[in-house]
Amino acid sequence: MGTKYVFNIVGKDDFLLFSRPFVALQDEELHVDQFIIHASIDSIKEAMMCTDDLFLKCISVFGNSHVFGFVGVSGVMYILYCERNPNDSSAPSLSKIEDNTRSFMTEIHQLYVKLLLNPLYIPNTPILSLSFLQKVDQLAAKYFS
Amino acid sequence: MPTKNAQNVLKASEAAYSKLPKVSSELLTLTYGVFIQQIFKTTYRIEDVNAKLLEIGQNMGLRIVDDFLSHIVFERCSSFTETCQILVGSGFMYFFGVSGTILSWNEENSQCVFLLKHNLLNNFVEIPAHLEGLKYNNMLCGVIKGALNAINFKVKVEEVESTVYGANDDVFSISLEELLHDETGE
Repeated sequence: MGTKYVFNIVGKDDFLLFSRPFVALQDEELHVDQFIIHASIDSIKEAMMCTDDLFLKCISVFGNSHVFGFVGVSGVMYILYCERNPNDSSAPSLSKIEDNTRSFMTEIHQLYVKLLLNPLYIPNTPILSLSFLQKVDQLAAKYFS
Repeated sequence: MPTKNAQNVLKASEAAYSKLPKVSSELLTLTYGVFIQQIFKTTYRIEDVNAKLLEIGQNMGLRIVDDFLSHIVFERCSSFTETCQILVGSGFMYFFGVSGTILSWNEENSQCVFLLKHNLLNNFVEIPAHLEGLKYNNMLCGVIKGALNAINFKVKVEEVESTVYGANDDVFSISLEELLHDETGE
C-alpha cells in the first residue's frame, strides 16, 4: 500500500469548502481522516502566529500520519493529510513529501485566487466547479505519484 | 472582404480608442459579474435575468450609436453587410478595445456569425450549477440590437458560444429580421 493523501480546503470560518482524497478510501478510514484534519485546524491557527511563511510545514504528527498546512492571506487554509507506510521502501521520504507539498500548495493557491476572481463564485461557499476539481487532480498527479 | 470604408473606419476607431481614458479591466469584469448577481437576486429566475440584460443592452445601444457616429465620421454604408462589418470591427474597437471578426455570412447575406476574442467581461468567469442557462453576454447582444434598431434594422442577436461555458472564444450571430421605415407622426 503506497502513501495515502487527503487534501482539504477550509475557509476562514472553519467551514469545509473542498475535500479530495487522492486514493480510494474505505468508509471507516474517511471518518478518522476527517477527525484528524479538523483537529489540526487549531494547530494551524497557532502555527500561523509563529511564522511569516504561508506554508506551515508539518503541523502535527499521529504515528505515521503527518498533516501539512498552508494559509492564504485571507484566512483560507489548505490541509494535506498524508499517511505513509514505513515498510514500503519505494515511498518518498518525509522531506521529499514536504517539498512536493510546498509546491503543490503554492499552485493550489494560484488556482484558488483565480476562482475568487470569478464574480459568480461566492467566497466561503463550497467549491463545486468541475474545472477546479480537474485541475486539482492534475496537480496531485504531478506531485504525488 | 471588408470594404474600403470599413477599413478606414477601423483605423479611425483604433486611433480614437487610444486617446480615450482607460480603466482597469478587472474592475469592469468584477462589476459586471456582481451586477448580474444582483439582478438574479431580484427575481431568482434565469429567463428574467437574460431578458433584463437584453433590455439594458438595448438602452445602451440606442445611445451608443449616436456617440460613435459623432466621434468617427465616415461615408454612408451601402448595405447591411457593410454596416455589420463596421459595427463588429470598429464599434467594438472604439468601445471595448478589441475588434470582432466576422466568420461567415449566410446565402442571402441576412445573417452573420462573428467572433470576439479576449472578451474582458468574461475573464475568469465560470457559470456555477445554480445559474445554468444564464446568457452572460446578453448585454452585448442587447447593445448590438439596440444600436441596429436605432438605424432602422430590426435584428435578432444571440450568443452562439461563450467562454463562460468552456468554449475557446465568444461567438455571436446577428440575423436581420426586417428593415424598419422612419415613421412620420400621424
